[in-house]
Amino acid sequence: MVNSKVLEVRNLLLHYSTVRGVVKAVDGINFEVSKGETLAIVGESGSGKSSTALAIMRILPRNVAAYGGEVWFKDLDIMKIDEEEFRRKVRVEGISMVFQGAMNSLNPVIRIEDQVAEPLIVNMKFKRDEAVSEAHEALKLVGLDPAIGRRYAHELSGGMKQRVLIAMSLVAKPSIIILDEPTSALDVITQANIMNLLKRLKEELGFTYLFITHDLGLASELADRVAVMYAGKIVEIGSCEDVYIHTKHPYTKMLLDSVPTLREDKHPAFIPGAPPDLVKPPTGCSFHPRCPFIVRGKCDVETPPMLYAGEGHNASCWLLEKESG
Amino acid sequence: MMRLKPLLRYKSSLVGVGILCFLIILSVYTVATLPFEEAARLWRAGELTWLDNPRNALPAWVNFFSPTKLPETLILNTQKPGPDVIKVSVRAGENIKISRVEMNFRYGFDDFPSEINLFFTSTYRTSPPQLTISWTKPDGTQIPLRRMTIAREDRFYISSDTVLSTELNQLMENRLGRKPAYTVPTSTILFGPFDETLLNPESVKVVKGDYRLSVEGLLFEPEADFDVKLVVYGKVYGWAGTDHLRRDIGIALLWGTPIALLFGVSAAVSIALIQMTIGAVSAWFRGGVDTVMQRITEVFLVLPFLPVLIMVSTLYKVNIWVILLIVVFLSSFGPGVKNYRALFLQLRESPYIEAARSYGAGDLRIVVIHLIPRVLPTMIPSVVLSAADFVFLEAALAILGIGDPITPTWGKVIQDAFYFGALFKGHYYWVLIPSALLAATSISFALIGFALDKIFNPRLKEV
Repeated sequence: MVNSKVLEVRNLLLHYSTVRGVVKAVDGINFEVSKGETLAIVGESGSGKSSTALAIMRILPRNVAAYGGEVWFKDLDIMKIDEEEFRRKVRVEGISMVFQGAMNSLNPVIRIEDQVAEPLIVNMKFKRDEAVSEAHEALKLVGLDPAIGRRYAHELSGGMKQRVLIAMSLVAKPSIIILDEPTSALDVITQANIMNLLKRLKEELGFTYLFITHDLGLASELADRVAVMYAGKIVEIGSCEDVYIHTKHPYTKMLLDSVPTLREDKHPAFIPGAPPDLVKPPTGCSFHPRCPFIVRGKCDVETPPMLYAGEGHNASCWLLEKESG
Repeated sequence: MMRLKPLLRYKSSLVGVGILCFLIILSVYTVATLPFEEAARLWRAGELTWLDNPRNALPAWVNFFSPTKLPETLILNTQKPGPDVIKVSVRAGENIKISRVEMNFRYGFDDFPSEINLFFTSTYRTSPPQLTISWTKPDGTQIPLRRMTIAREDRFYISSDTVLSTELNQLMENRLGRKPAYTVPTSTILFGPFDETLLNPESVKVVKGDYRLSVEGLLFEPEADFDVKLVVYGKVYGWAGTDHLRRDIGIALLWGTPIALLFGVSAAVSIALIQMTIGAVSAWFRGGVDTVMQRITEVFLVLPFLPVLIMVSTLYKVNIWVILLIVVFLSSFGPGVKNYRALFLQLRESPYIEAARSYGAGDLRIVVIHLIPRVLPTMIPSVVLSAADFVFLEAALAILGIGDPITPTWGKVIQDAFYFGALFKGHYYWVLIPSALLAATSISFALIGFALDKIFNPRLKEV
C-alpha cells in the first residue's frame, strides 16, 4: 500500500478557558493517517481524544483559549483557510464525523432519510429527491432497510440509530471518517455488530478512519495503528503489534495490564493515583506522579520528546533514551 | 400533514372542535351572505333605516321557553296589498275621491305590543289628503283615533301620541265610570278589554282576536293618492334581539364572529412566530445580537401594554387591523422571547446541532431546519390557548371604548349595552348573547389547546 497521507496533524493545540483556569485539552499532538488506514486514538476519559476530533473538524466551543498547530488534509493546511473555504473543501467530501452518543445525535423531529440526506443538500446542492435516494443507498450500505427512512429517531433502536449516523457520515463520500466513540452507550452485542459493519465497510470500500475510543480491545479490532493519549498528549504511537506487544511507554503497559483477561489466570492490575488535573498538569512528563519507573530529577523536570522505539513506533518516555543511550 | 385524528380522541377537544367548527361555519355563512360594507353601513345607518324594528326587543327564541307568547312585529302596508289589506277608491265628484283602507290582522300574542305607528306617503299637488283613522276591536267596538291632514311624508305615532292618550283615557273613564290609578297606555286600551281589569296594570290581559284599522281618506285632486303602513311593534325580534337604536344585534354578532376569530388567530400566530424567531436568533448567535435583543425585550416588558394601546387609540382613531398591528408590535418582544430563548439555548448544545455544524450547515439552515421545528410541538398548544386571549383582548378594548369605530364586533355590542344600561334596565340578552359567544370561542380554543398539549407534550402528564 502506497503511503499517501490523507491527514497529518502537526503540533495541534486546543486549550479551553474555564473559571478554574486554562484546560490544556489537546497540547501539541502529532500524528498522520494514510489512505485506507485506520488510526485509533485511545485514552481514558478527559485525555483529549474528543477535543482532538473537534479541533480537526473546527467545531469549537465558545470558551476556546488557544487553538493552533497545523492540520494537513491532503495537500492543504486546513488551519489556515477561512470558514467558507473550510466548508467547501473539508466538510464536503473531505472529513466527516460520527459523534458519540447515538441516542441524542439525531434530530427527533426530522425523518431519518431527510436527516441522512442533509449533508448532500447543504453542501453538494443535491435536489431533495436525489439526495433522499442517495440516503437510501447509504442506509442499505450500513445494513438498514431503506424503508426506515420514513421513520423518526425515536422509533429506532440504539444500534439502528448508530447505523443511521454512520450512513449520514458516509453519504457525502468523505476521504476520512472520524469515529468518536461510535459504540459508547451501546450494549456489547450491538457494539460487536457495529464494529463488524465498520470493518466490512473498511475492507469492501477502503474507508479511512480516525477511530477514537477508550476501549483498547475495540481499537485493536479495527485499527492498523494506535495512538495512546494521556493528559492532552500522545504518549505512544505505532502499529497495533508494536503498541500492544512491544509496548514501550509505562502508561500503555499499565493500561494493558488493567484490562481483565478471560483465558489467562491473571488479576487485572490498576494504575495508582488519578488522571492529572489538566488545569495544572504535572511538570515534566505528565505521567510521572503515577509512574513506577520514575527517574527523579529527570521525569519530573523535563517533558520527554517523542523518541524512536522502532520502525514507525514512537513513545515519549525518558526510559527509551536510557535504553538507546 | 397535520393529523387531526388524535385530537378527536379526547372528548373535551371533540367539544372544542365542534364549537370551533360551528363558529367557522357561522363566519363563512356571514361573509358569504352579508358583505362587510353592507353590514358596516347598516350598523351605522341610524334609526330611520331600522324604523320597522321594535326597540330593545328580546330574541325571538325566548317564546320557545316561555308559556306566554311575546308579540312579534306585524307590518301591514297598502303598497303590498293582500287579503288582509284592502284599499278601495270611489270617485265622489269632479275633483273629490274617497279612498278607504281596511287593514285586518289577527293578534294572538299574550302581551301588548311595544309601540304602534302609522306611516303615510301621499302624492298631491296643492291640497293634501284628509284622513279619518279608526280602530276596531274584536268585539266590534270602534274607537276613533284621529282626523288629520297628511303631508307627503307623514307619520302618526299612535302609542306615544299624548293627545290621543288623554282622549282614550277619558273615553275609558266614561265607560267604566271610574278613574284608574295610572295613565293607561294607548296600546293597552287598544288591545285590552274595557272592563275592571284595566284598573290594575298587573291584571290587564290582551284580548286575542281580529283587529281592524280603517283609514278613510278624502282626496281633493283626481291624481292624488296615499299609502298607509301600519306597524304593530312586537317585543321579540330576530335571533339576537335589537338594541336601543332598533338595530338588529344579530348583524353585529354575525360579523363579530369572523372578526374575532381572525383577530385572535392572526395575533396569536404572528406573535408566537415573531417571538420564536427573535428567541432563536438571540440564542443561536449569542454575543452582541443576544445582548441587544434581550435589552430591547426587557424594555418592552416594562412598557405597560394597555395604557400604550389606550394612548394610541385616543390620539388616532384606528381601525381594528391597525389595533392588531399595534398589539403584535407591542407583544413581539414579549415574555415569550425569554421562554423561547431559554429553550433554544438548551437545544443549541444538542449533539445533532453539533453534527449539523460538522457537515457544514449554515446558521440560517440550523435555525430553520433544526431549531425551530424542535420547539413547534411546545409552541402550537400555547398559540391555540393564546388565541382566546386575543379574542378577549379585542372585546376588552371595545368595551373600554378604544375599539374600531366602524366595524361591528362582539365587544362593541357589549359596550353599547354597558353604555345604555342594559343590565340596569333588564335587557340581559343584550349582554349575555355576545358574552356567550366570547365564552364559547375561548372555551373551544382552550379545550383544543389542552388536548394539543396532551398530544404534543405527553411528558407533561407525568409531572
